[in-house]
Amino acid sequence: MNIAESTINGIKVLSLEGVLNAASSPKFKAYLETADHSGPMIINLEQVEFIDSSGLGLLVRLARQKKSANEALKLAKMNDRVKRVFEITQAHSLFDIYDDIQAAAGN
Amino acid sequence: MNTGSVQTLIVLREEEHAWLQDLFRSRHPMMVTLCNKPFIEYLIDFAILSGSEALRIASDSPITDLENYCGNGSRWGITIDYAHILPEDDRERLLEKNRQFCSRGKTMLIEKTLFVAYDKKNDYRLWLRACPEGVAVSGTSGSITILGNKQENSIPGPIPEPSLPMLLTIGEYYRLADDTLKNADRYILPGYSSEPDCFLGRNVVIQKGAEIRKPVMIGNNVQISAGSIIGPGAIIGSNVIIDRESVVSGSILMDNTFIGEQLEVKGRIADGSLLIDPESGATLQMEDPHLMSAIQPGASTKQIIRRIIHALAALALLIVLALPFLILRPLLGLRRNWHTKKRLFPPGATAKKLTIEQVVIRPEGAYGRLAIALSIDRYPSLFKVLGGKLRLIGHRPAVSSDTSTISSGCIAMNPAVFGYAETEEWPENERDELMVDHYHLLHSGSLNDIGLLLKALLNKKHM
Amino acid sequence: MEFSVDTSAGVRVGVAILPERIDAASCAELQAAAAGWLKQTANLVFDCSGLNFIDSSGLGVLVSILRKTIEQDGDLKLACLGMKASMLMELTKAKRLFSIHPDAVSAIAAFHGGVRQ
Repeated sequence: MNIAESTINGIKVLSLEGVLNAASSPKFKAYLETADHSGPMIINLEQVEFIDSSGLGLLVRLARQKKSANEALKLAKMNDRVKRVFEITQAHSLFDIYDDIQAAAGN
Repeated sequence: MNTGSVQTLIVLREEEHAWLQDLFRSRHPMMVTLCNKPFIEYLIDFAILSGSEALRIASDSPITDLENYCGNGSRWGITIDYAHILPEDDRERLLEKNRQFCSRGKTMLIEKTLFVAYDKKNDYRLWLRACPEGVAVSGTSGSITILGNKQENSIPGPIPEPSLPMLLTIGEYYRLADDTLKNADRYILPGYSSEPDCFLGRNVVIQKGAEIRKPVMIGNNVQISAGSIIGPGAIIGSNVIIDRESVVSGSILMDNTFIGEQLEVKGRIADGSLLIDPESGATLQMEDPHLMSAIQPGASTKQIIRRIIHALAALALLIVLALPFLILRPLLGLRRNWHTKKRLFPPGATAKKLTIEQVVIRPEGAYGRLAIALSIDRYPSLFKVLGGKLRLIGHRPAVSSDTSTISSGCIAMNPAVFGYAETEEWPENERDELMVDHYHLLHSGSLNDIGLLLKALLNKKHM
Repeated sequence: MEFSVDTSAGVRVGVAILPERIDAASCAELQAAAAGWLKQTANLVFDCSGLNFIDSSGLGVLVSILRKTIEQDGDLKLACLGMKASMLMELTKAKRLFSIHPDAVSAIAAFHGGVRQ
């Protein structure tokens, strides 16, 4: 899994690419732990091919951290496969989900 | 921005249509049928009639059944996709979250609406084209709002307008169904119709001596036994059986309903074993299966194979753990470290409930820890897997809470001895556990289940 | 089950207050009690105001009690029938067998003259 970082409107955007599962989630976890990732964040899921329950767990944990720090976490550009996983697991009720990154960044 | 394309955004919020949700718990309110056609389909029809090329359903609650039914819309020749919103999102936030969808052109925003009264003979593309930005139609609860500019080439002359009929009580639903059947030529209704007030589905068996009186609508896979009188004014859903010499008139029978013999259903709505008087709103949950009951669809071969594999694996565990159980069980008993807890599943259910007995062992002392490591606490429940009452791995009802927040979607899932959630480290609360359970319930097959079972057995987190 | 004999209509009318539930488990009790009441009078009124649930076996017992009262030239009248019980009786067509009254007083009064109405 690849992680690309960019900034829109002063908000950090992490673009994930590939598969987010039990094998790759440690990499994402390590990435989040190595640098300072405070402040509002947008996660771009457009290029995520597949997400399983442990990948989901990682996003749920991140959402919980951001919530306790009173910072926004928004998910953007979910494709249909990812959307389906969010829906069947009812994880969507924990996230703000946008179909457009600019809109998520408040542009 | 305005490229001339038209799309429809349907917004569903869980708090809406609570009256309908209370009556027909097993499905999303938009999946409740009116004249054997789910409400959502009337909205889809209207979106198509008004020239929409794409339709999005944005919901703040699970809509699995709705999604399974509508799919990607290819059945209707329209692109359907789905979006998620939160209950607290206001209109502005909602549009922000769906900005890309809405920015393609003119958007018809349908809110708090179950049903749009349309006439298929009208060209609603003209109506939509002439609509200025803002509220186009409003009803007692819902509305249709137009976003995006009015196009210049507006059409002169009378333009037919759709309307949103009052639909806030079961009585209004009953009258609307009657009205829809009487004005069947305005709508696209399911079934074969050689006469305007008679619709028949596929595989309808009408035995000798049964009488059908118009207006009537009958769904698919319906059996009407000898001596019955159906109609006038009967709307019979799919997978319905009406036994000998019963009378059904001025009534709506929802899908999967059985009506026993020599009964008289007049001016009622029946759904499985629930009988409703539309005028007073009174409901009666029938407990006599020979009078009225819900017809359960049979298990598929896949489910049967899964059940067998679960039973075999449970048998293996019963054999392997027999000796440890026989040794540890009395020891734990002596130390008062063996507690059983009985509870009903699903919580708060009235029909089809199952009593589940769970054993609680505290991780105290060598025996307690060993017993938990060997999953001895699950041993007695394994017998229920053999009988098919429990799954071996699936959704494990939380031991601690009786007031579990099980939402409608999970009711269908079978309780199990081991939980899918026990295969993972991260779940912190019941909601997290439900997420994992849901994930695997839809993704796992028989063989995966065995792998996940081993993972659950070896996962030290629950010890 | 509460049972009393009322003579205000000029005839002896037995008034019983039915329990909340009459189902397969509790209908034998009603059947046994009714046998005792029928020895006192064949004119019965069942006050159904507390009755919240009745199933087909309960209904069967009511019909058999009705039949016995008629055999003894009496009647069984139902008073304060709730919506749920009423729906079940309409579904099974049992409702048309009984004379039904809004309250016990009018049911008792209907026995005036001792004729089945």
